[in-house]
Order: sequence, then structure tokens, then C-alpha cells
Amino acid sequence: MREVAIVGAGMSKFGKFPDKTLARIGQEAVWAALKDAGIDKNRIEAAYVGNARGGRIVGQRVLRLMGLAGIPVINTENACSSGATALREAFIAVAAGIHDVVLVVGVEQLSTIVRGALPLDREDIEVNHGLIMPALYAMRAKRYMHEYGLQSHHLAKVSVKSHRNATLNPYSQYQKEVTEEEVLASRMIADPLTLLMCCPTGDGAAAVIVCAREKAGRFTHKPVYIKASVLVSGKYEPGIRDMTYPEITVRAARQAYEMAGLGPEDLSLAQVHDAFSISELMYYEALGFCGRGEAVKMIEEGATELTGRIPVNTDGGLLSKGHPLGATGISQVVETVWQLRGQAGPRQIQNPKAGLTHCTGGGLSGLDHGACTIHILSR
Amino acid sequence: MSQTSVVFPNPACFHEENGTVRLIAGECPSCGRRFFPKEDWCPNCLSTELKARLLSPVGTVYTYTVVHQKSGMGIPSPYVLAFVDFPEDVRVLMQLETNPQDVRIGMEVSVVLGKIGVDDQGNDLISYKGRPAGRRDV
Repeated sequence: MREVAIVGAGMSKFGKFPDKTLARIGQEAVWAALKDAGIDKNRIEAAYVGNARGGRIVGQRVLRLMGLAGIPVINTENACSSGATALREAFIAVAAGIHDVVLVVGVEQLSTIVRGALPLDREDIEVNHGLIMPALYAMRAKRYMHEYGLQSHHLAKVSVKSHRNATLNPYSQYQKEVTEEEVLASRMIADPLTLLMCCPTGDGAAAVIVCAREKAGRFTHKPVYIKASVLVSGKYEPGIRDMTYPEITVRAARQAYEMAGLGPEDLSLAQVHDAFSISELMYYEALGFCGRGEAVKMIEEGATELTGRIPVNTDGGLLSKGHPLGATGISQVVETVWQLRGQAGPRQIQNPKAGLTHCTGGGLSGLDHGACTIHILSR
Repeated sequence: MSQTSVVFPNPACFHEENGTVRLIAGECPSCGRRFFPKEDWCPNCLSTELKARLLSPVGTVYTYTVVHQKSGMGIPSPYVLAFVDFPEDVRVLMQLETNPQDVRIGMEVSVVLGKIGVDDQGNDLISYKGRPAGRRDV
């Protein structure tokens, strides 16, 4: 396998843009990534495009006006892991020597199709009986509280941190700091999760240019390397299992650390799938940043703040940067590339060496989640 | 006004006899695993010899939440959802018929039939739910 680098990264502002088209939102990110790489578009050999709810041939719709029509376009769907799944396909193609330079895009527009909680698949027996995504995470939170003494104000702390980071990121959907009291006083969605402990729906896109390491020097003097690219699907385990320790993430993390030859202690930062504030805490443990039941201590001590031992969701995360499903995984990678290059502006962390990005996707009964993707990037 | 009626979205999932409702899980004679709902084959070893196994009429709340958001299933909020563990090592998500403030992790619930929502035609959807054990009605 060849080593693989990211030589360009860009994204659109996340938010609600019902007057734009899905294609236009995607094009903004593609423009930004091409410009960042300083690359002639004719060098792009293929495009991998992740999207969850935009319908068919989303990639072609985005790329038609970018002078990229004609190349192979691979459209991927894996719910919230759609974008990161596209990146893994790109990684495989470049690592295998099939392509030298490819484009990866994650794009989503939700403002025109949903309000409130995303509708789930009605043929699912749990959805049939009233399950919505916030309720699933709320039940994980309730159990975690029962086992480890987590309290609502700890959940609020996660939202406070994420909102604060988001104010330092011009691409974030939310641009306002909140207090613990405001988070706790916001509307109850599914006990114990209040509105400000849930990610918003929205629109956005992110793109990266992926290239064989040996060619990377032509485009940038600061390539970022993909040390691990992992995708797993959820195991069908409808029986008794520990809902405080997400097995799909534990499994993907183990594979990613092995592939990268790195451990959690080697990471300078991480972007994790904080769709709800409880998930960020559970992922501290599942990704090995701390032991079982120690997430509360981590958030209390500020270990995951920008100035902490391992800053998590430096860009505001899903909770505050926003969560346009297919775009999320690539936007996490864009943020990590910026951080590793020292280009993250007021939220820049000191001298980062390696970063992890993590996305889980999809609710389906019997499965922890439909998919989980983890990427580890390094300078 | 159009005539509405009652719909059972998952009629094969439970068995009712003399007022006692039991959920039906699948049990695989080859690998011994149990699954709810019962499928036509074992999702673990693909054996097609799956047997129906009636679960205990009472289970224990593993975790729960009170949902204040609309579900899209025509359920008035707030409503209580819980994962309920049965002694046969099967966990089932169900709505609970109880006051939200009375739910606790570890409490026992009996399986009952009740309204879980309304379909697009306005029909009442009837399926399995949980009710605090020992209570006859709500």
C-alpha cells in the first residue's frame, strides 16, 4: 500500500441555507479545497462524494459545473458516516495505486427537508414503537448516569465547551457562547437531554484533495498524512449489551490505532461524533482517552478544552458547528488538517502532531449504529 | 368523518392468553441464540429451524427516557420509552404506560397491549407496551 496524503482542504459555512441548492453548497467546498491545494482541476482523477439524504447522483450534481464532469464519481451513503465513508474509498484507491489524485466531498442540505428530529426508517420495529434518535441517546445517558454518577450539569458542560469553540470558528452554525444554566434551562427533548445538548440540523459541505504521498510535494509543503482509515458496520446484537460502552466505536478504534501504529496517548486532538452531549463523554472512554467511568472527571478537569491534555471537537463539534450528515465526517478532517498545519486561527492548539476523527452513522434496531468511521491524521 | 379502526403493526411479536401478554422471541436450536423479534432464520448461524420462544410476562427496565419531542408516529408527548430486559436474555424497546415521574431503572414491568401511535389514515396502532408490574390499569 502506498502512503496517502491530504493536500487540500476546504468547507462551506454550516447553517441553514434553504435558498441555496445542495449542488451549490457542495461547490463552495470544492472551490475552497481546489484553491487550498493550488491544484489544476484536470489533475483530479476521480471524485468520492458522501451524502445521506440528497437523493441520487449527488456527486454529479455538485461537480457538473466544476469542470469535473466525465471522471469516475462514486456516491456513498452511510447515514452520518457518509462523508467519512467516501474518504475511506478514496484512501483505498490511492493507497492501492489506482489513482494518484482524487477529490472527496461530503455534502448535505437538511433545511429544505426536515424540522426537528430526523425521521427514521418506519420499517424498523423500534422506530415503530416510538424511537427517535434523541431518545436513544437519552436512554444511554440515563443508564450512564445510573452506573457512573453522571449528572445533568456534566452534560451541559459539554455543550458549553462546544459552543465556546464554535465562536472561534467562522464556519460554525452556532456563533454564541452559552452557560451551563442556559443549557439546563433549554427545552427538554428527551430526558435528560435538553435542546442545547442536541446537535442542530443544517446544511453544509466539506472537501479534501487526497493524493499519493510521493506526489504530495508538488501541491503543498504541508501535507497531512492519513495514517489510518477504518470503517466498520454495527453488529446485530439485539440482546443484552452494555449501552454505556459503544462497541462499534471500541472496535473501530482498536483497528485504527493498530493501522496507524499509534495509541490514544499519541493524539494531540480529536473530533468525535457528539450528536448529543452524552455521546462525546461516552466516546472519551470508547476511544481510550480515559478509563471506564472517567469521562465525567475529564470534562470537569477541562482535559478536552482547547488548552487541555487532548482537545476534543476544537471546531465546535456536531453540537455547535452543526451536523449536515454527509458533510460532518469530512468537515472533521478539514478541521484536523487546519490544526495540524497550524492554520486554525484563534482556536489553534499548540504544536499538534496527530489527530483523530470519528463518525458513527445510522440508527437501526439491534445495532449500536449502522456504521462507524475513524481516521487518524498526522503531520 | 372517515371510519377509523385499529391496526396491529407487529401482530406476530406477541401472544395473548387470559389477559397475559407474552412477547415471542426466536430461539435457534443450532447455536442457542435468542432474538427479538423472531425472524425466519437465525441471524447468527442462518439456521431456518428457528423456534418460537414465549418470553416471561414481566421484564426489568434497563434504561428509559421521557420523550418530549414528537415522534412522527402520532404519539402525544410526553411519552415514556424504555429498554426492558427479560430473563431469557432478550432486550426489547417499548413504551411504558406510567407517569413519567414514577419510572426507575430496575423497576419491573408487565407486558400489556395498548396504543403506541396513530398511522397516516388515523387508525390507532396497537402493540406491546410495558406497565409497572402489579398494576392492573392506569
